[in-house]
Amino acid sequence: MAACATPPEDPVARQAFEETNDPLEPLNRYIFDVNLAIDELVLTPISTMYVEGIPEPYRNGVRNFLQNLSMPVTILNSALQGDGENTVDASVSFFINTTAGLGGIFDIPGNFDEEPRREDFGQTLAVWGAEPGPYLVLPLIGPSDVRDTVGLGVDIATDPTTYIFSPTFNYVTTGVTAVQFRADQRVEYENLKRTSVDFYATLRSLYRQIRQQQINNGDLDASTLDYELSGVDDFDTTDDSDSAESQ
Amino acid sequence: MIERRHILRSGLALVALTAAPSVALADQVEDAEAFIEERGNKLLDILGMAPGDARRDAFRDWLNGSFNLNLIGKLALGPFLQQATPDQLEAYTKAFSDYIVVTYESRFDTFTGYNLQVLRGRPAGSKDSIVQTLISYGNDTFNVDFRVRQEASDDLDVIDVMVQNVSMLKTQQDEFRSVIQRSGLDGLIDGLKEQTAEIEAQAQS
Repeated sequence: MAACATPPEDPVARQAFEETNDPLEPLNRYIFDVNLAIDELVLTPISTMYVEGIPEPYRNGVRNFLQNLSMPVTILNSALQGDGENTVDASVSFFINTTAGLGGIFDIPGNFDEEPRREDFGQTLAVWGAEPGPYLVLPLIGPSDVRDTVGLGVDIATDPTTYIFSPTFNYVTTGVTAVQFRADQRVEYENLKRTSVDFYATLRSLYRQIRQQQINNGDLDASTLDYELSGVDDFDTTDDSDSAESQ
Repeated sequence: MIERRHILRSGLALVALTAAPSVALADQVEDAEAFIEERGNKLLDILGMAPGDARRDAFRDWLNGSFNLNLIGKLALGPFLQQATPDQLEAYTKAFSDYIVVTYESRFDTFTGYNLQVLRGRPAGSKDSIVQTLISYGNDTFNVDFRVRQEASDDLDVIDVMVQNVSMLKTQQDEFRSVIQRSGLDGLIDGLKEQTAEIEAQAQS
């Protein structure tokens, strides 16, 4: 029971508790702290060495190779979502990069309006109408939710690389993906960590917004700001101090 | 014939009536686009200044002239705003504004070398416009949308920035809600003050 948060009785606090949708928060925060420690002890030094020790063209080659390796999952899930264009684009891209791009090391620009988007089974479940469920922090992996955790399992099970390559190869590529991701995000990540009042809550919010954007396929016009502005938005903003007191 | 003309005339009147607010909205959107363009250029000028107190003051003026920090602070509280006492609200507004200023000052150097291109704007609600821009930074480009509020005094202010559809206001709402749930509004005010002091200390070291 210690792992579960107790719902509050006050209506505003109760609504906030439900919006946060993180009933396992105490346990999640514990795993989050462990992940942060591992990040600091292992991932940060390795990704720093990686950035400093390996010239950019080689790092781009590694990034391209890993991205190409994830394409079969994208192709399958684009098809499951009924997205014909992305299925075709991803298939063409995978074929060209694997052959002419020497196993994906070189990203051969295709004749696409936009590069194929990455898709996964978590996104497919969302498109099919599944709710995200409570927020979860997975050991080593980090932010997730119930839907994405199920999605991750299905992605591993349906990914041909799981069966084609040896477990060692798969561990190494997973590790390198983590290092690469951390290296790409290091400036923004460090800034956020340094300036956040509650880093855990900030990442939880960012994770959900970024996933929603991926589910919407980055359509900027589709999401017309679903965050709550009502209630506080009717303020007469020219007379700030009075309007607040009259509430 | 007369009847048809009558219908035509009332039709035109109807078009004129419904068009009036959309003309006003179009003006509002155009003003917002021009505002973002002007603010973006102004920031480039400030980034070009020699480091020092003059640049810091210019950046603070720019920040206050571009964003309505009082309103953003209130929006960030969400439903908890209504539970705040006047004293708490005053302390919070000050703490929030100080926190935002030091946060962005500490990131000042990371803004160098950007290029902003205003794409288009669209209305959002009766008072706001969303101005879509493309910000390029080295080899990377980002879609950055600014939510611009037209105040009753006709002043314009940014109240939210969305980077690739991730809203900074929404993130702050979620973060603050979490802090308030754990330690109340006073806990949030203390947390903001502590974080402000910590960021300032890091900047000096």
